[in-house]
Amino acid sequence: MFLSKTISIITFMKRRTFFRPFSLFLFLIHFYQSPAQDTDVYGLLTERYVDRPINVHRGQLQINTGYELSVLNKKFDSEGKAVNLAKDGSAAMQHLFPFDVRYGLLEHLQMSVGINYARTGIRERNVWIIAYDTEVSIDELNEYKGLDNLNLGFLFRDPFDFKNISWTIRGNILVPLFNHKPDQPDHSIYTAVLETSYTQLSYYYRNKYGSGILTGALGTDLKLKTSNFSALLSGSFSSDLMEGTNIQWRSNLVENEFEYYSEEFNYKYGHQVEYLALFAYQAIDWFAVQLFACGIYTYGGWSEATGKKVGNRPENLFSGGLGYEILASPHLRLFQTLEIPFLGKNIMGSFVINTGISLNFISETYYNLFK
Amino acid sequence: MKKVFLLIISSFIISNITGQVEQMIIPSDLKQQTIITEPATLRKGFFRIGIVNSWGAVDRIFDESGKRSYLMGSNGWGTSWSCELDLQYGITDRIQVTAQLPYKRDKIYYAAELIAPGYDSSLVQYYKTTGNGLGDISLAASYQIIQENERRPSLVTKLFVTLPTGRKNPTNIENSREYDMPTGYGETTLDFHLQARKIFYPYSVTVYTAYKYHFKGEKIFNPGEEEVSFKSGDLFYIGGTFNVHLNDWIALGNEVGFYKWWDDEYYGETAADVGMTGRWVINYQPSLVFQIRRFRFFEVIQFPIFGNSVAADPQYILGLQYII
Repeated sequence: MFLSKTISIITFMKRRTFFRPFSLFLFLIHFYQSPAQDTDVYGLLTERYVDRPINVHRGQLQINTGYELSVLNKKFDSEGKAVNLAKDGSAAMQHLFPFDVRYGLLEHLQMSVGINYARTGIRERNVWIIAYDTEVSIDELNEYKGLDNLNLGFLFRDPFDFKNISWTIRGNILVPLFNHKPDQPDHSIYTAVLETSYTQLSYYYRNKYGSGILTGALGTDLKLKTSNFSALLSGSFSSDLMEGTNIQWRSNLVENEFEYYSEEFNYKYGHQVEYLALFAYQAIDWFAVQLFACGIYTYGGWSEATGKKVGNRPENLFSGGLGYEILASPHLRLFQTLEIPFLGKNIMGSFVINTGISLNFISETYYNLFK
Repeated sequence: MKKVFLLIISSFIISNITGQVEQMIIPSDLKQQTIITEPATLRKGFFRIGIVNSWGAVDRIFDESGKRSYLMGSNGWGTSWSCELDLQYGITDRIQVTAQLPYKRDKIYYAAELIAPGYDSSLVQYYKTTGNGLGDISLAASYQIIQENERRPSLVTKLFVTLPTGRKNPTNIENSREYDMPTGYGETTLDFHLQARKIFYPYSVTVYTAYKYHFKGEKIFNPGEEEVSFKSGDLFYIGGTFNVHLNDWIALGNEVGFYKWWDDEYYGETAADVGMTGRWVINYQPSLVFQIRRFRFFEVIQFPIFGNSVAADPQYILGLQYII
């Protein structure tokens, strides 16, 4: 049956009609004869975590949001040695509010759109310059806040509907819709003359969170499951699709007033490989616990911020953690994960607490459209 | 006549039916009630034991203009964790007593690079100040003035007394940044709390208000100083909760609270934060509560939304309770 389907599709493609919109539509609805058609909408919305497909069902609207707190208290140096940032004087927290919407165009095809808002402020170690009759204190804050790139994605699940295994491929494009260039800094100076001359310089850089570069990503997921266990193996590769342009603010201190000017530079973040292995156990029908390991490897980036094109050091981070998901009602799911960084090179590691909700609705009309 | 006879007979039948309805009360079932369905105070003879963990980091504050900002002039970074043993007992169906015994573990980090051009040298200094130990113990008595029924809400009054059992002064002082921090506030407080609650199953709504009075205390605020007499500013707070059962075992809570502090008073010389005035904050705290038989597990995240001269970072609270 599948062989004949596949042959007919290949023939279809050879006729070079595959990319015509109507032909694509026919191709997609060809796979509509899935077991999901025998299940009612309530059953689909109350599916156990381990039984759920990787994508959302046909006609399903899923809205995910929440709050993610990252405690940036560890840095891995070039030799992989962990540095305590609290001791180093630059520990920080990141507050991130993710938002994404997924919709099942077909039983095996999902589209998604997502965006994050984040805010973090990284303070550097204080510097005290002490001379005979002069004392200078310098502190620096690098703030990053704003919206990330808009993430548009498609995910296609294999049409075979095997009982214990499913496979997907996905493509995403991250569009830099929002301003990514830093605002003018807001440095300040305070001076006092007592027994000695005291000056406090506070450097406050106001950066944006978005990368400012159009990025493309391709990924794949494999899900294996038994009655109460599931394992998800994922991998993705992303790369900048163009060079980015940004500005760097510089300042001069003239008669106790800061004068600012900016310089433009080009940069690329390079390529990124991400991977994830997630194991889930369905403890109760409405409660699943998760154990996961994930990693990220970035390479090939460069920047001209210093005036010369300088390559970025490859970054590598391996983390792991625990999580759970609660099926609170047919429309509401709650989830939480704790992630701890274990190994890395040239990168900050953060302890992450991610708490979120997932709202789910299925349009019965749309679901039954091709029944 | 026949119609009258039938009417009398049918009224007997109806009265029999209503008379047969009985409320089945099994203590083990009552001990499995959730935060929404349980009475406002513990029933007579019920005993609840719990562990409550709170964790938060100090990174940002609401400044005097109400803007969330980072502390400039210092890269000090702190975390605070407390683990509290929570004991509750129902003396009668209306009177409950509570004891809260906290253990605290606070850390503050500070790092600086000292450069002395005259000596052509530089030095990186790092300090870690910790505070571990028993905190201030609280005892409370609650009285249910009005018990809830179908028409009226419950009304509960609570009186908390917090005693200065925690270490109030810094110890093991090596320098101004390296010492053992206090784990107590060095003052006695009285907190009078009034709460009204109504259940509209599967929802419940609570409105509360309270006033916390601080008695005068005496303690060392900073290493190297002498003990100073002080009186912390009293606290007034008002708020409400809206809780909903997501299913038979899970309840989702939503709480909004407004807190207003009066200014602290110092009766001596200290470098403490005497300039902190006009403190207030509005918090939003969603919570998730699991009720699995007699066990109750809950998680709360407290978000400061608006405020003035107070910490602006969220706090995570995790708790586990068991009722006997």
